[in-house]
Order: sequence, then C-alpha cells, then structure tokens
Amino acid sequence: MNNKILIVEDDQFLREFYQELFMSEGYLVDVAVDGEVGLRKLLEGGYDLILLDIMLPKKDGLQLLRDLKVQPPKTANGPVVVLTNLGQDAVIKQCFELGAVGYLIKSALNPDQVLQEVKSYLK
Amino acid sequence: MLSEDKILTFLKLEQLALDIEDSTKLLEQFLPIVLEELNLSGYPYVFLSSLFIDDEGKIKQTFFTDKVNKQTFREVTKAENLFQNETLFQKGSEWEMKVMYGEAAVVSDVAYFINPSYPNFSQIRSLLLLPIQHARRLSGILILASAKAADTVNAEEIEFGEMITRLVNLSFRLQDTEGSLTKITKQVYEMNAKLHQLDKLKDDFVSIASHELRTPMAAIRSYAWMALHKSDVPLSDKVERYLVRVLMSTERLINLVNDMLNISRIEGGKIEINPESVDILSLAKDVVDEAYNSRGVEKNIHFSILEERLPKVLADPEKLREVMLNILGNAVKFTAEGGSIAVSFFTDGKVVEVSVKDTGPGISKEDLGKLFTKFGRLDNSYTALSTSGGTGLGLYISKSLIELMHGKIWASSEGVGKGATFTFALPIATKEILERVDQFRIRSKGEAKGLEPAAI
Repeated sequence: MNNKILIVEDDQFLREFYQELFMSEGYLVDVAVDGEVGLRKLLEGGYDLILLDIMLPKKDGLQLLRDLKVQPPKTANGPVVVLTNLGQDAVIKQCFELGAVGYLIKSALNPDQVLQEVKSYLK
Repeated sequence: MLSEDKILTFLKLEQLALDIEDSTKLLEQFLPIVLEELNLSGYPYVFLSSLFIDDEGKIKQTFFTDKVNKQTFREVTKAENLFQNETLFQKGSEWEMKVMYGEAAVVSDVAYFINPSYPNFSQIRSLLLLPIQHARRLSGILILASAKAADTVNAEEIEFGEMITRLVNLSFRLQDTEGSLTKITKQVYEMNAKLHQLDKLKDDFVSIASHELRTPMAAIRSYAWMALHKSDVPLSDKVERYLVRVLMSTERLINLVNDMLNISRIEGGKIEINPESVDILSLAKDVVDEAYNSRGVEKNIHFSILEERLPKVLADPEKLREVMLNILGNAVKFTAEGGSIAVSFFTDGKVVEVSVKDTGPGISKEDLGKLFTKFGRLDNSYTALSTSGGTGLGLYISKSLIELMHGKIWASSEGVGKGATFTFALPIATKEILERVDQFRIRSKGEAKGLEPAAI
C-alpha cells in the first residue's frame, strides 16, 4: 500500500511543489494551507508521515503540535517531520520536545535530499 | 579691611558650602545659614535673595530666604510676588550701571524692587545689591534687604557682602554642575534603554526577514532543480546551462542570508560557546570527507591528511566544525581541477595548529590582511566566488568563532600562483584548562541561537 503524506504548508508554490514531488514518487498526498486545517486533518488521522511548517496562518506549527498532544486522533498518525525555514535553536528544541522526529530547513535542501530524508523517516 | 571675626565667619561659611553633601539642594541649605551668620555678625538683614539672570537681564532662577522662618524657596513663581520686575537693567539708572560694571549698589527705593504685599516690607529700609559675576559676565545679583538706612552702609559691609556673593556664586555653580550631571546620567540611561529596544527590533527584523527571504528562495531552488533534473522534455545545452546558473545563484543567495544571520548572532552575543575536549583529528577527517564528497570529487582534487597522535583541544565541536568546513570549502573553491589539498597538524604542547594548504591561485602579501574582514574578498577572486556560492563572509565568521574559543587564525601564502595555507590554533584541553573550563564558556545574551548551515 502506498504511504500517505500530509503536507501542512501555507506558501502555495512550495505546497504545490512538495505535493507534486511526492506524488511523482508514488505517495498519496494530502495538503493543508494553515494550522487549523492541518489539525483537523491530523485529528481524522491515518497519515504515515506529516511534513509540518512552523510559521503558519491561524495556528502555528508549535501550537498544532501542542493541541495534538492533548487530543488523540481517531486513527493513529505516523511521525511528524518539521519542514520550515526557521533556524532558531529554541524553535528546533521545542519541536522535538513536542514530538517531532525530524527538522528540515527548506532552503538548505534540494528536492532529492528532501525525498531521501522523508524516505528515511518512513522506514 | 575686614575685621577678624568677619574673616572667620567667611571661612566658616566657605567650609559649610563645601561640606553640604546633597549638591542638588546646596543653595537651599546654604542660604539660610548665610543669613543667620550675617545677622549674628551684626547686620540686621530682613531677607537674602539671589537672582540669576539670562543674557537679556530676564530673571531665570531665584532663591530666597527670610529672617523669620529661615526657609529657602527656590521656585521662580514664589519670588515673582516678591519682586516688582521680571527684567532688570532696562532703565540705565545709576544702580543698574554700577551693578553691570561689577560694583555693589545701595538703594533706598525699596518699593521699586519689592512688592509692598511682602509681609516684612515695612521693616526694610534699604537694599544692598551685589553683582554675581561668572566668566567676567554679570550672571545675577545678590540682594540683601537691610533694616538700616542706606547711608549707614559702610565699605566693610559692602566688602563682606561681596565675599559672601562669591560663596553664593560658587555654591550655585556646584549645584548647576551636579544638576547637569544628574540630567546627563538620566539621558544616557534613557538612550541606553532605547538602544536595547532598537537592538531587539533589529534582531526580530533580521530573523523574520531571513525567514521571509528563504521561503521564496526555497521555491526557486526547488523548481529550478526539478526543471534541471526532472524535466519531461529533453533540455538543450543552453537551457541546461541557464538552469545550472539559476540554481547556483540561488544557493549563493541562501548562503548569503545564512551568513548574515550568523554574523548578526555572533555580533549580538547570541552565540553560545560550550567548550569540551575535542578529538581534532577525527573531526578534521569527517569534514574532509564531507568536502570531498560535495565538490572535491567532481573537481578531482586530491586530499591528504597527515595523521599523527594529537592531544585533544578545548573547543565547541559544532563551531569548530563550522570553521573547518569553511576553510576546507574555500580550499576546494580555489583549487583548480586536479589540484591537491593537504591538512596537517602541529603542536607545541600548549596549542594545536591545524593547517590547510591548497594549490590554488595564492594570495599576494598586501591582500593577506583583507581576508578576515567582512566582504573582504580580493579582486582576483571574484570569478571563483561567483561560480562557487561564496559570500565573502565565511572567513570573518571563522575568525570570530575561533577567537570566541580563545584561538587564533591566520593565512599565509608564498605569493600569487603558489597556493595558500590557512591555519588556526586552539588551546590543548589540558587537565588544568579542563578544571577551569567554565572560564571558556560563553553564555548567550538573551535567547541563544545556533548557526545556520555552513555552505561548502
């Protein structure tokens, strides 16, 4: 069965880019444009991996992770990998404390590297 | 000539003026004592007042003390009711001319000066007007309101009054200086608070701006990469070359944003240095592998590491890695295809030196000094930099980091065409140094921030 990925990303170009990238690799991809939609989809659950941005409209990524801790999803989700451009230590630390398993800086990676990282978290 | 008791009184008052500790209230405390002493010396003055004027003769500040309650009022408004005129020296009268030229004047026209509503008005029969001079200019008058008639005022009384005037002026200047100092201190404090606020705003701006900049750059990078590597039509050589350049320039731009962010963190004291004992040889090997795999392979550069037994150094491993990456990255950038890069070590028992020698274009003597400054790139290196993603900030960052770790960094070259050697030295993690490792630790001011990824 194909892995199902949720991309929570507000920037349209990047969102569509990652969507296309993962679909071309055979993944099933769902997207969310802000933190609220992201949380709603995550509470339904059933994703094998979540790529989460931090600076998001309506609800930022950190708050989404916090909400997720108190509200269990209907169907369990796979790991959350943060995919952002924020590089502050404090943010990175908080993400891991809130349960993220990875932290990727968008501008530092080429698409093949993003794919590689995601594959490593899906194993 | 003053009699001895007057001189003693003067000396006593002088000492008093110098002894008053709270200089901001010097005159308020001093004037009542002066009036009391004058009365004790046989001069029945009803009140003592000092007026300070501006250049137009307008009264700026007044001090007043009264025989009855011995209190000093320093509010200008209080004295307005006492004096009839706000401006002096307008009429050119005899007393005005005298005072202007620094002489004392005695007047019996009390009502011209003093408001008849002043409770003790009827006791005053004459006024002794003494000029207060500062820097050879008239800066005010000391007024002594006497219960004696004008014609009884003798030379001794005037001379004594003049000496007292000098004391009053001295006290006023002391007070003024102290007041200005307090004001300046306050201004400096406020300015400092403002600067802190601006610094915070700048920091916020830098991190938000860099985030905002990196988002579109990530999109450009991603799409250009896809166009280059995953195109569904075959690319012509031309289009491929264009896309490679778009990608390289984007990476360079991203590196620049990262480096500027790092510099803002280093200069703002937001970087933490957590020193520990580091095996520099294995760290160097790791970084050499990384440099080799990223660009060394395609340029067919030969790497060598002169392995030897080395003591461990005291350094923050993350920052040390950053420096190594930068120096090796530079060596790769500037070394032509088929060239070689050699890493070697040296220790004198106190420090370990790490040298990276390349077979690149070399550096002229006069250019060596520019290397470690911000954007201190050299004229002949522009070509290499534009195709390699260099930012002109890497060595400045490396130098800052090495110095934060109590080390040194320098470059040498035997000249243009003869390659260059970059060397840094770090203290050996001896037992003594490890015992006082806390002295090498640097805490961040405010929220600590790590470094953005280094570019090779």
